Amino acid sequence: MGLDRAFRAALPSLAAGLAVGMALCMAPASAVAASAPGLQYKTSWEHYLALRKAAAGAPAMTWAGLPDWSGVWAREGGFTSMRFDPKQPKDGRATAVLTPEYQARYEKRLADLAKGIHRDPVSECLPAGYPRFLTEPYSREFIVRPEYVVWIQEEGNEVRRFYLDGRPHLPDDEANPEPEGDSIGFWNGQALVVHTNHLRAGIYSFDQPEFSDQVTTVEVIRSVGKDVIEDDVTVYDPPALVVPWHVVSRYQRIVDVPNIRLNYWPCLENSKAVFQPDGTVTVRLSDDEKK
Amino acid sequence: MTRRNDCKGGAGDVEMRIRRVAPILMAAGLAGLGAQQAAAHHSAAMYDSAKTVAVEGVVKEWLYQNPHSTLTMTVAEPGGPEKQWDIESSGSSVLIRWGIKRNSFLPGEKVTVRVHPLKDGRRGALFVDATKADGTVLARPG
Repeated sequence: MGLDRAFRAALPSLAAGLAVGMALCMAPASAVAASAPGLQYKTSWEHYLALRKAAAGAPAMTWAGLPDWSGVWAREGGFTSMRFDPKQPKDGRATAVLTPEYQARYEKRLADLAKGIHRDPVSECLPAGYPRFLTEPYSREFIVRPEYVVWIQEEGNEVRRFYLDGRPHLPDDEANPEPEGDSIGFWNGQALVVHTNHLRAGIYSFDQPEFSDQVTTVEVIRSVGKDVIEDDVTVYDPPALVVPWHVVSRYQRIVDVPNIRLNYWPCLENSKAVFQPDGTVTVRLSDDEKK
Repeated sequence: MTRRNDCKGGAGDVEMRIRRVAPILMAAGLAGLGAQQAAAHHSAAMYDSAKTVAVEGVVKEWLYQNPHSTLTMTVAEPGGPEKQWDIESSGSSVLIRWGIKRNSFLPGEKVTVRVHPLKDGRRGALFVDATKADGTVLARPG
C-alpha cells in the first residue's frame, strides 16, 4: 500500500521524465534546442526574462524593420489538424504531460465525445480564448506596429493585443481574467517575443485537454518563409501540466484566393446548435422553427 | 444584414424531386474527418459521418455566412408531400477558400447534394459536396 502510494505520488514525475526523455530522443536536434528553454525554467516569467536578457542588445524596432505580415493567414493543416500540437498523432492522445487530475478530465472528455456528448464553449458562441486561439482553423490577420501588434482571429471576432512599448503586465488587483489574457512583449530582430497571463480556464480544443486559470505562456512569433509564420509557444500551467508544453504552430498566408477578407462572426444569429439535457447536441431545422 | 437568396413563388416551390441514393458507406476515419472539417464550429456528432446520402432537389435558399452556411432545399418524396431539407455547411470564410460563393446556389436551380444525414432521421444533414445541373462539382479541394 505504502509502495503503491509512493508510486502514485511519483507518477507525474516519472511520466514527465519518460515523456521528456522520449521527446529528446525522438526529436531532431533543432527541435531539442527549441524545447530546452521551456524545460529549464520554473515559470514562464523566468523564461521570458531570460529571452529578454538575451535580446538586450537588439536594436529597437523601426517601421522600416517590421516584418511583412500583411494579408490573411490560416493555420497550417486547417480543419484537418485541430490539435493544439500539430505533432499529435492522428489517432493518438495530446502530447501534453498532464497531471493526474487533468489527465482524468481529458479521458472523460474523450469518453463523452465517443457518446456524442460535446461540451465546448465555442459551440455555445463563447470565445475560444487563448491558448486555444492558436489552434483554430479560421482566417487571421495581423496589424503590426513597432510598439504594438494585434492578431485577429475571425472565429468569435477574437483579438489578441501585444503591448511592446515596455509597459508591465496589469497588476493582479486590476486584471480581470480575459479570454485572450494580457500580453506584453518585445522585438528581437524580426521575432516577436510575447508573455501572456491573466487568462481564463478553458480547453485547447473540443477533443483536447483543459487548461487552468493559472496558465501562462511564452511565445516567439516569426517568419520562417515568405508566406509562413511560426508561433513557438511554451505553456506553463502547474495545475494541469507536469512539465511545460512546447508546441510549434505554423500559419500560411492565403495567396490563392483573390479578395479574401476577414468576415464578421455573427455566431448567435446563425448558430443552430441545440444542447440536450443529456449533454448531446443536435441542430434546429427550419421546419422546427415553423412549429 | 444576412445574405439570403429567397425564392418564394419561384420554380423551387413547384418543381421538386428527390432521389435518395443508397447510403454509401465510407471509411469511418475519412468520413469522420469530413464531418469535422465541415462543422468545426460546433459538434458534428449529431450527423452520421459513416453514411453518405445523395439528395436531389431544388434550391429554396442559400444562406452564406459565418459561422455556418445553410442550403435549404425543397424535395419531393415518393407518395408524399414536398419536404424541406436544411443542409449545413462551413462558414462563408471557409467556403470562399474552397471556391464556393454567395451565388453558387441560386433559388430554383436543381442540385444534387451528398450529405451526412442526421442520426435522428429528421431532414437535416451536413454538406459533403454538390453537383449542379451542368455537372459542376462544388467541394472542398483535395
